[in-house]
Amino acid sequence: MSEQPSSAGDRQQPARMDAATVRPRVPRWVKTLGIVVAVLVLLGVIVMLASGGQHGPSRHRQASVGSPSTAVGGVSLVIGMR
Amino acid sequence: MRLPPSLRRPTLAFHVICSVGWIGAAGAYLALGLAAQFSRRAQLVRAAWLAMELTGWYVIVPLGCLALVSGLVMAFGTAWGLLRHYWVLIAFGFTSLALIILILHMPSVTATARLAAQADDATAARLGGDVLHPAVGLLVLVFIAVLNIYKPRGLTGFGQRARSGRPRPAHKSSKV
Repeated sequence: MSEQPSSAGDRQQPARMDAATVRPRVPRWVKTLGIVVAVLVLLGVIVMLASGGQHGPSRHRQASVGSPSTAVGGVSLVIGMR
Repeated sequence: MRLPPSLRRPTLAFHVICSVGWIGAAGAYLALGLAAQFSRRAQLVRAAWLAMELTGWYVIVPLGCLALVSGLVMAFGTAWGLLRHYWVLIAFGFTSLALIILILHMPSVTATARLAAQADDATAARLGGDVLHPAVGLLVLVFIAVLNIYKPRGLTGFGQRARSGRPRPAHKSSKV
């Protein structure tokens, strides 16, 4: 954020845009990023489900509150995911 | 509230230091995680997990929090805003997500570090490492840094309305 946004407006935007009548356009790079992120998240979910689904915030909480004996089991699951 | 120029540069310097420091610390954490993953020497695995716990809680988490807070100060204290430009909004979203996952992940690192400290050599040598979380986190942080440098253009709907100085358009049903 070192540079201030230019007052001339974005190159992708018309110089005089009537915001009340023109629907804002989503830039192409944002759409591409959205597709890439969606694909990666989907792949991640598929990999997690294929490997047993032992992942998520609840797993982290279990590992933190487990006794040493249960933590061993938790760690083996964690290692299995890594 | 806009930051005066005398405060803007120090805040920006602080934000850059925290953000780049976060990347560097995540890289160091990844090196420890890889060492623990691929080594079968109990002493090295044990040391790596203890170092990962200390680095995580005392360097990475504070740097992440400071990077997020200083980024918010820069967003609200300059003309960029938080919701006006897609790159700012996306950087904020990814930073918040990375920080939440980091904080949720750290207790399991603590648990494993405690186990590594107490376990016998055979168990410690089989603990493995922590590679997936820091590797993905590092990629996300580098992406955010690139986004901050290039600042790709694109105003959100809110940014376009704010620039044109008009209120939010009413729904069609309310016009009738």
